[in-house]
Amino acid sequence: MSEKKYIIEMHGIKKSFGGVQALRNIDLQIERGTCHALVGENGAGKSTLMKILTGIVGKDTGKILLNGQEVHITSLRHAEKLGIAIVPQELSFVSYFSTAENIFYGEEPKRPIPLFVDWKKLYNDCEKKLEELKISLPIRTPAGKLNVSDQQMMVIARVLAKNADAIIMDEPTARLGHAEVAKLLDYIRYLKSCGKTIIYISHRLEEIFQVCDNITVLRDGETVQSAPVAEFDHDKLINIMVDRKIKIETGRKRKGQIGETVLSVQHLNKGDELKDVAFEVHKGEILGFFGLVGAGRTEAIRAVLGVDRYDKAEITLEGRPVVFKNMGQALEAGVALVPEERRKQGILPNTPIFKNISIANLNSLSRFGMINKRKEADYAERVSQMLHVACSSLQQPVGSLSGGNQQKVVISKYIDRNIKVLILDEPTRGIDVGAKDQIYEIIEGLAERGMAVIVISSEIPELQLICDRICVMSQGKVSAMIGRSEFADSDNILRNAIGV
Amino acid sequence: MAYKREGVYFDGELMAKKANLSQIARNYGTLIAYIVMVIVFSALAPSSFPTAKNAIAILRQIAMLATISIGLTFVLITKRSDLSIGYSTSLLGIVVAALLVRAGLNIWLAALITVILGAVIGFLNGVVIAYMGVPDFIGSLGVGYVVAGINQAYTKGHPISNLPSDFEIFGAQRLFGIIPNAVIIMLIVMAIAFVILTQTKLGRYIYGVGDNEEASLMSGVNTKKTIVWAYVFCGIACGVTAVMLTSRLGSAHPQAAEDYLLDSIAAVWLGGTAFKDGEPNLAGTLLGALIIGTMANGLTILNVSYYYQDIATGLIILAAVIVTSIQKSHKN
Repeated sequence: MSEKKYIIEMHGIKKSFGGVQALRNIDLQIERGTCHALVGENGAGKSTLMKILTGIVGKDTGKILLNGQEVHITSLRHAEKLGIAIVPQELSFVSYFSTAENIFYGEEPKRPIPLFVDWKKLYNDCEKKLEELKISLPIRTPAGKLNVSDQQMMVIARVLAKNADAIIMDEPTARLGHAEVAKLLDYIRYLKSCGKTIIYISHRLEEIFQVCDNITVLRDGETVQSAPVAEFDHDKLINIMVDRKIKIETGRKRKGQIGETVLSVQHLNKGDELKDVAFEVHKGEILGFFGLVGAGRTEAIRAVLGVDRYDKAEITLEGRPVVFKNMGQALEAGVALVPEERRKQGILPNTPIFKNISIANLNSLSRFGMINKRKEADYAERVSQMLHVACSSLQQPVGSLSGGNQQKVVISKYIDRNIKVLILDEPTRGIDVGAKDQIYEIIEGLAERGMAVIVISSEIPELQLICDRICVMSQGKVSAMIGRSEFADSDNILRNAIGV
Repeated sequence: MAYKREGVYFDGELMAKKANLSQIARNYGTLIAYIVMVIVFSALAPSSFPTAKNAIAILRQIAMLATISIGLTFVLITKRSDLSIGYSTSLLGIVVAALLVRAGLNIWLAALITVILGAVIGFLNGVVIAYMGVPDFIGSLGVGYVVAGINQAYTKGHPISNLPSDFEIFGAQRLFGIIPNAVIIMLIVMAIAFVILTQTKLGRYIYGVGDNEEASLMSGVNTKKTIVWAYVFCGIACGVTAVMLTSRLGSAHPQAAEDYLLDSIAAVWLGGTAFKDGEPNLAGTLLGALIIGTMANGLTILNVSYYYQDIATGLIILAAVIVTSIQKSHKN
């Protein structure tokens, strides 16, 4: 038999960073031509394991076999030569290069004088290659102008163009809407049919059950279980991952009363992007915003907050008309945003936790411009305990925390300020299952205390779980406002979002 | 509490600080290198280098470089740069001399106006860069050109001398005949900068903008205003340096301070490697200026020509930054 059953085998992999054992003992066997899910909470060791497989970091002990042959992978380039490539969670590409240039970056066809690129050939080759791969992309468009889904396909095309046999996809659907996810999963099925092997890392378990053949669960740097997907179900998988019971329920009991209207938006218009958008959110209410990518959810919120301009709108806060020119004004008036891009817009990664917590509240913690350090420390201590930020010390830089704890720190900035409306954009993106639950409880707690909360999310179950109403957007319009009694009908929500 | 629940993870603990040897080497490597440098010079020139007199001379030599570098530290913390400082300081030196000699102002008033003008130049830099969206390199270079042009147009390249003798108080005289006034001024500037950076809202915002500008904006920080303030502090430091320099030299030369641009960038960078993993910080800036000053002093005592001194300084900077970046990449 020339081809082994397993394309990749990793045995007894151990790795420690400065005395901390990140990987204790990992075994992983990937069958050729399958999609193999790698699941586990943040910190379980998925990323480290994949970094070892792609040569980004070295292993301490253990063996890696490729087609039954032991290999010592020394760099990302070496891994690519061996046919192992990764599509990272944070896509990297040159945004002002065209799609084709990005796909062939580093391997451009040369003219007879090797310094010069044969552009015509590059675009022709690209067209041929994409046709062969059954990917359709605008090849002359600068990559930065593509939407996220196309950017991802571009990166996938790039690794396929380098003849990768095994492709690692790290949270490939984290930023995609429903329709794009379906498209990507279809493409993964196609890749399998071509004999390619996929290692699929995702927090979205539904997708794993849709597309994967085998699942390996990691926990605390060890392989806990590895089996065909049929041997798992949703609850069982979560239980193995977190090793403790987590309540999965829809429509949780909520305390607190829904009061008068706090924020009202009427006739919000902006070119083709937003057409007559209207919604209002009440005291103590959690309003969900659902829509596929490009539906205008984030755009509507950004316009209301004054981050982007709009053509026309009537916005009132507690009955008074308001116009925010920038985020600062919105905050001053009591409207805050927990942004989607946590690392980029939410945290000061190298700054200690307590300074992250206090930065939005320094006005009340200082006199004549001088910070009252004791007051600040007490405040940070109180807020971090309230939100259960798990850390060894508040002096620790926020960047060293897990995603869930980082998110808590971002939310904590707004907890004590005079915030009337808190908007959370994809609050649990990239956060593991256990921590998600904690974030939900925090959001519910804020509503109970009388905040008006808006949650923008691409995950219907999440909205069903915590919201009082769901505002569904489609192509720049509000297509439905769904109350709690109609939540059970997920199809209805999705139908309104797709706009059929 | 509303959010009480079990099952909190302590993932943070894994990253908890550990004080081991490599950490000490990382945090204090540059400081240790400086101490080694002092020991080597002391061994090579035992009669002239390790003396109190020479130590004071080194401090006096670096007082101006340290002062201007402290100003630049503010700007570099925000992850921006200011290429105008050499030109600004040169012009401000001319300004203070002109105010004294040609306008006949009182020394204190002349110094005050010079420092305020420094703040104005910093303000211009800040507005161009923060509010008009000009990249910091080209924005501050543009302001620098304008400033240098005004300098040339006014002086036609000629120095201004015959300063009043009481003006020597800012750079040439010594307190009790021992401690140079320039060193005292540097320490005062240092103390003020320390208070601003560590004790005030504004200081916190300056660091916040440097760490993550967008997140600071989302937290309600007026990031543009913060950036302008950083440049204003830098301009003030240029004004103070100009007064000290002109006082020390006894006359104002149109290009007197141009070398400070590169020297102060070097000092802040060297200092960044010293204590905070490559981030600019005040203690580091002082150490950076000390390293550059001690190097020049020691090599001069050893009769090494000026040209070789630059080579030595360059190699030290490269070594420090290379070591820091290797440590950083190992850490990641």
